[in-house]
Amino acid sequence: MLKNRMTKLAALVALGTLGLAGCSAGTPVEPGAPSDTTPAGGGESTAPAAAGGLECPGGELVGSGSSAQKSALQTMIKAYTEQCGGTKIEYASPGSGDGIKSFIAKQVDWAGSDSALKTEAKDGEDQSEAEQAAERCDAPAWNLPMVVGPVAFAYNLEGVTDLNLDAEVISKIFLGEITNWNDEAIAALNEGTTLPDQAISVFFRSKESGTTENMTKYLQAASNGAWTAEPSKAWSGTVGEGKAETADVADAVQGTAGGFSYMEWGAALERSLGVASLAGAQLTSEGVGLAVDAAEIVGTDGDLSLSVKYDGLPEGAYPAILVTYEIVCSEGLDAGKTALLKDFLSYFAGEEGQGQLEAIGYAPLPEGMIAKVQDSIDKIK
Amino acid sequence: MSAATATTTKTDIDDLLLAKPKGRRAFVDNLMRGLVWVAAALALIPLVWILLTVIIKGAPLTVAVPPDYTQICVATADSTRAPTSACGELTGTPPDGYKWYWVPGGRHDAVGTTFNPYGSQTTFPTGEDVRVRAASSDGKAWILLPSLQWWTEPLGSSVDFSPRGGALQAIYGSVVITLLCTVVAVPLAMLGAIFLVEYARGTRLGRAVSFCVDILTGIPSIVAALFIYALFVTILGGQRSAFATAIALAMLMLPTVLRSTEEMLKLVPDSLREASYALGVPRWKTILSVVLPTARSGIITGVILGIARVMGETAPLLILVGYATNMYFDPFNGSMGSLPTMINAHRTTATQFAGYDRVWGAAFTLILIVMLLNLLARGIARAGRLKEK
Repeated sequence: MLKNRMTKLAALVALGTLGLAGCSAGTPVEPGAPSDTTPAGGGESTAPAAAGGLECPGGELVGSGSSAQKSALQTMIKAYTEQCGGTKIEYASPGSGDGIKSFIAKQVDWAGSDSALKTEAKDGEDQSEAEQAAERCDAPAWNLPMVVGPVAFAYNLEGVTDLNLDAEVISKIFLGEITNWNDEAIAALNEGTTLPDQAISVFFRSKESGTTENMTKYLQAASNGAWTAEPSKAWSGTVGEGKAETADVADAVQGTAGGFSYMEWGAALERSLGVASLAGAQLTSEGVGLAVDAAEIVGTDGDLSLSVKYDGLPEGAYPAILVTYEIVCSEGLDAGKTALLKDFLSYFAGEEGQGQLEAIGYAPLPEGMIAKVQDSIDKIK
Repeated sequence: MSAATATTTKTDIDDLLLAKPKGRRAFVDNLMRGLVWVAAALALIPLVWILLTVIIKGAPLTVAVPPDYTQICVATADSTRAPTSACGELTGTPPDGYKWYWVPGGRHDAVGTTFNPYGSQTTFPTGEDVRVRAASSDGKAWILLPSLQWWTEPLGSSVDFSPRGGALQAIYGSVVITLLCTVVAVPLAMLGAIFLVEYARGTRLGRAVSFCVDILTGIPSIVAALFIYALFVTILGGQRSAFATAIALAMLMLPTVLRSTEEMLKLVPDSLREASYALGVPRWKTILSVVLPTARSGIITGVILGIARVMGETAPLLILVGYATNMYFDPFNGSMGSLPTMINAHRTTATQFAGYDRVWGAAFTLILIVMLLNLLARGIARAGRLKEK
């Protein structure tokens, strides 16, 4: 009998919450225009024009890799599948390293990566990543730059809204030589700001990550020798606490007073974290654009791997950038998938695709680069 | 005791009345009673807490959907939300220092609190079927519209901050994997239990098998998953798939169902079997038409509880099948969504977005399904009992 009553009680509680949920819909004000149609101000609907350029071959496509590209790809996939109904595209984001492994093992059709495929073999392996990928495709695999994501150095400091750091100071923080926010080296870069007496809690990505690799490339190039370790996907600093994924690192900084770490810009924006300037250069999409313009293409044929410069950049350029690539087979996928991949990537590289990136914490590719990417996409067989 | 009885007075006798203890005995008795009540209440706190949290956070999304965008007015100087009147007409151009923002689905901030513009638009969002609502000014709340999309649509290409898209692919995946696992595990478990009770009772072999089943009951799910991964993927060179997951889950379900079936079969009185043998019925027919029907309701209850146990297992799903947001029907190839992995895949969504509540929605759905299975098991047990009368 008691059980019976408990069941009824549970049902009542459940019904009650549903009722409450319904109540919260009580107050909204509808805008002047009918809510289901576009009001006068937003007349410039881009959908029909863009759909003209798409072929929409349909089908299924699976990708895996970098979490730095996650929001960009989610947004692209949503926009693309809205225009090409019936298409299924999946992107999992376990990290660049995992993505490349899945690509080589033929588990996915393309990989997203924060760094181009390595052309030198790792210790203990016979083949380099590029060779293994070429074997998987029976043709060279190409790195196509698609999204530029700046690496943000995010901090959690009560009362500090502007913080300026440079590669040398950041290296020393990551190597445990600077452990408190009121250290003289940090104060020297931030005249006029009162820095609290608080220990620095460093967090890093414990999984292999392209973000870590690009960040350490920047540190190595710009820190006047303070950072000595070779750039790598695995963390090579000496202090801090490891967290598996971007979101975990960002959550940790948000939840820890004095927290400090590197992450994709979007992750910091999402949580309203403070983002440090680097040697006076603020993190803005213009600053990032200046740095991308200075990069040089080192890939051959359709491959567009870039070599990013971290030193001697123009005034205002934000140096810690992360060019993320889509790694694709230049030929060898079955015809249906190739058509869909080409169509999807064309949309991504196109004006409409790139135009959506800035709102979610990425910088669009410079125009010259877009033309080259489009060329390579057309060459995929 | 003997000293007390020697000088018996009226009060002493009252003290000895066990029905109405007094003094120290009464105090200890009440203290103990109180402690037991407190302990019971403490044990209930986490249970009720979890249940309420999941219901409050998860239930709304299963019956409603937020609009695609909510429109709010923001003071640009310090990014705080201003009252709607500061921006003037809802569709007009706001005065200097103020801006309209179209915030993608989910929560919105109260007037006066800092607004995070990430993922929001400053131009009117376009699209074929975009729903916009103006946010009310009081507190953090949801604006919900009734909808059953949670149960009828897969998540598809919905981004973390879009409210569109349901959980059909995860519900489908969970159900298919559980069904496959049941199809594999239940016949094996039933035959195993019949062997133990009817053929090997009291023998050395029976005890050995029984011992193995006991050990198997304690195997952690991650170990079962690793074993299947090694067997299927590493040795046989197969792909991760929903079927491999079902096999790993079957390893976990097998001992549970076997043990409960065995207990039920043991409860069948030997007199029934002997009566059947006396009529010249062979052993296999006795088992099929006398023993099993007698124990039927208990066996079914055991099976359903076994299903409820594997439904929420996560480790095998993480290792053996990729998470997918679209519907894929083939359990032998490729990825498939499921409720536990849906929770895992979306747990990193920032709290202000609609996608964050999908995690709770999936948790709520999972609890709901397991609860329904439990109720079903009780119903069957009760129906079986009535028939015995």
